[in-house]
Amino acid sequence: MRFISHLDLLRAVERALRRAGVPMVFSKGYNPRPKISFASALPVGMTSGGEYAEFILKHSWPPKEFQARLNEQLPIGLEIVAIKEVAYNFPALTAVVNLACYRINFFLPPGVKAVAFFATWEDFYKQEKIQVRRQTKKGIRVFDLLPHVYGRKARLGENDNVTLNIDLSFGPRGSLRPAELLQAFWDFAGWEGRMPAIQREGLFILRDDGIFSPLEVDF
Amino acid sequence: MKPELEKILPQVSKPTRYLGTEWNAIKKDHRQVDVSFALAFPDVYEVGMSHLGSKILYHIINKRQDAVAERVFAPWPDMEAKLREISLPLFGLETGTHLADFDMIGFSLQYELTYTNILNMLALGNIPLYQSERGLGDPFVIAGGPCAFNAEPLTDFLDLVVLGEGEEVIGELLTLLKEWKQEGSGNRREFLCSAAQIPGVYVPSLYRIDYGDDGIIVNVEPVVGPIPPKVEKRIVADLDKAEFPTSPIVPYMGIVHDRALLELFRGCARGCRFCQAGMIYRPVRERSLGRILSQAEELLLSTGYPELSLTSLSSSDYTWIKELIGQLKEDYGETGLRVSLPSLRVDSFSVNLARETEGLRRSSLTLAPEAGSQRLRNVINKNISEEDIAEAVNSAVASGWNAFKLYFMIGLPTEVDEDIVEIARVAEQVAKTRAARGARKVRRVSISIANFVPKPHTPFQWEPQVGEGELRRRQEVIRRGVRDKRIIINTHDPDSSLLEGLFSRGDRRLGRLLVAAWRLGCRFDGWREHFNKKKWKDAFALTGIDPAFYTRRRRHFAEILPWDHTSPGVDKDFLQREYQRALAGKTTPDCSFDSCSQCGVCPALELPICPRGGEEDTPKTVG
Ligand code: SF4
Repeated sequence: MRFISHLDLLRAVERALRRAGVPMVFSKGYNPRPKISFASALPVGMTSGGEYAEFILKHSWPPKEFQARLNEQLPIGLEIVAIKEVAYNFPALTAVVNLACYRINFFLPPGVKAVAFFATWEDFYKQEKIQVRRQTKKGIRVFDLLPHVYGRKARLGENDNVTLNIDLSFGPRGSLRPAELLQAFWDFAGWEGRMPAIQREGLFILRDDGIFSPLEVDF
Repeated sequence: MKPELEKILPQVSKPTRYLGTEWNAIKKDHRQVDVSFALAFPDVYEVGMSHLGSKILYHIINKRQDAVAERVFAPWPDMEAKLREISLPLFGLETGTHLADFDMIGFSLQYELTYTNILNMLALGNIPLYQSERGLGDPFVIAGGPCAFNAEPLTDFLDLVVLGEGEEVIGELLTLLKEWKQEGSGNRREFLCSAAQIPGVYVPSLYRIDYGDDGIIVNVEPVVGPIPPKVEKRIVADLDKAEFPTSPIVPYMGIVHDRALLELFRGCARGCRFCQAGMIYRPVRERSLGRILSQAEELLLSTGYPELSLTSLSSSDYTWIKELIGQLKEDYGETGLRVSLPSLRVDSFSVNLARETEGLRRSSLTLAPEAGSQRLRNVINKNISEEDIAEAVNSAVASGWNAFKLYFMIGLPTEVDEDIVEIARVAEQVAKTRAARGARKVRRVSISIANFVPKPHTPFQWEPQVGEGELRRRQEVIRRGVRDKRIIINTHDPDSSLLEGLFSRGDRRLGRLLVAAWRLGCRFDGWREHFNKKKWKDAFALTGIDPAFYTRRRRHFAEILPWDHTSPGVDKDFLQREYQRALAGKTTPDCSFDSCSQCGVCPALELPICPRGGEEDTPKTVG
């Protein structure tokens, strides 16, 4: 669903939960709210191919029923596509998700041939180091982006449309934003690149034994 | 969604205003219905979506098999620019149907400073601005709401006006419209003449207004056959029988009143003399406790809102308020439901209610003494004493509140500086309050100083409004009088209050002023960031209209007022009596608890005197 902010999304889900009569656990305090946590807030302007959220219920409920009841109450464009019941001590999603996959679409910059584009895209990664400067609350942080890139595919579509599929590290233990990667690439190539539409395809858990969706792993 | 819309939405602020896909929104195929109605609200989405009356009409119209209602709000200036850029006409949110393709467009008139938005919305919808220029295929443009009790400044643009509560009238109008369409004559005048036969419907073009040399009205009369010389308002006598929307639309974005709304009663007979709502919504009619509880259940189930607001003009006056709050707590306390009471009386009974419902969730408690001195409170018939204020604040502080919001007005009739300095004194008094034991103290008192605007159909309808410069001086008097650093003063802009006053008591000749101002670019005049004094000045100069004639002149009792031929049922005699009592400093009691003060509304509407209460009549105790 486009155009709604993360806050709007949270609100919409909370209200759907109330309508569905899900026995949620509420937070304490002046403003009790059902305990839901999303693996990550979707940045403004990005679309999403899927989000993960944890719901804390008062007591066990058949997951299929939860899914069906909630889907009945969710507005068009929002849907629970998969669900899994986990124990209360399952680690928080925010703590385990460490990889994000993005899909980026744009047209070749004016005057740039496809061959040249793909060659530059490869050359870009042959650099020893690619420095990124990031403004943080504590000041400017400079770091190398290469170790954060886990996958990168570029495809040429119709009408000089390029699709990039990039997998970047994500989460509190280090992350790279797709816009940062793209900006560094435009700078390297010396092209006037515009910031294109970015879709976050999904969030994953990268371990020594492979890449998993949060619904596939057990702890 | 239309592809054009999809393209511009990423470029405007708050795009969810224009999606039309919210939960509980109703989408109908226009080809499957006989009549289509656009519920137009001349302000931004967040304000319009908070308005209960529009929700009620949306529900009533869409319940009909043969009709569809869609919403349309004033597009925010960034969206307006985009719409113009790609030449996309204004549309109904649900299906994107162009405004011009609806059979009828109904504007909600809540506030005078939204009038330029009405013109702008019509223009953006490619609808001829003037009702006299509309023809075959053009929609009928109608209006209702509190400002409809003097819609004269808008009569150039409106085909008809509905006075009073719209629940029943809207159905009668739509049925008439459907018949007229089926009959196929296309004669608009014919439709309007039949509509004028519906009680509560005022068709301005059927009345001629004559003015004297001094600009004052000398005669008002219908221009054709059996048209009532005076149109009386409509009301719903039994609220329990009235339709109520229990599955209202739930917006994605946060709106002004982002909660489920329950209506406890209509009308208020406290009789505050400055208050137009208190006069035009009379008499008091309560909904029964049982009905409200069942509506609460349906509402919460269908919306999922975590908060329920008990709305009314003076909610703590509801006969079964304690029982209601108790029951809501019992039924929904576990789900974390919050209950809010928006309009509190100034007394400890109300403070206790607030404590029961909200605990200390809310940071500040709002009270409205309206005037600083007892003398002036008697003039305006705000029947509370300084002790009431002290008592309310004391019990609030004892319950743990440490921040207060106090509402006052300046520019009231007979007001002198001695009255105004009292505002500062009352605020300081509140700030000084301490709980009897313990060190509980008041942390913050914010006082909101509104400028009094005389309104039609109130006892002060003849009063001159205090001018801009003098209002500024009086604001200064308060600022100088307040020493306590914990007191924050919020004032309102005198220029926009004067503009509000102009349209509030204006007549038909102001139509061209509106057009001139709108052409110069005036929009969202009620929004501080958009109000443009310079453009309005230019509009006055262009049209030669002198606002002082409308705002600053003391009108004679014998004068024919521009709104005299549209009546909320309250007698002009009563208003005059009240005006004289005001000058004499005499108060008039609330007819709900005391004797009838003969305002005329009950006999005019053929109701028994003050039909208060629902089925479970229990003796009234006032806290
Ligand atoms: S007619 Fe009498 S009882 Fe009825 S609203 Fe007026 S004052 Fe109250």
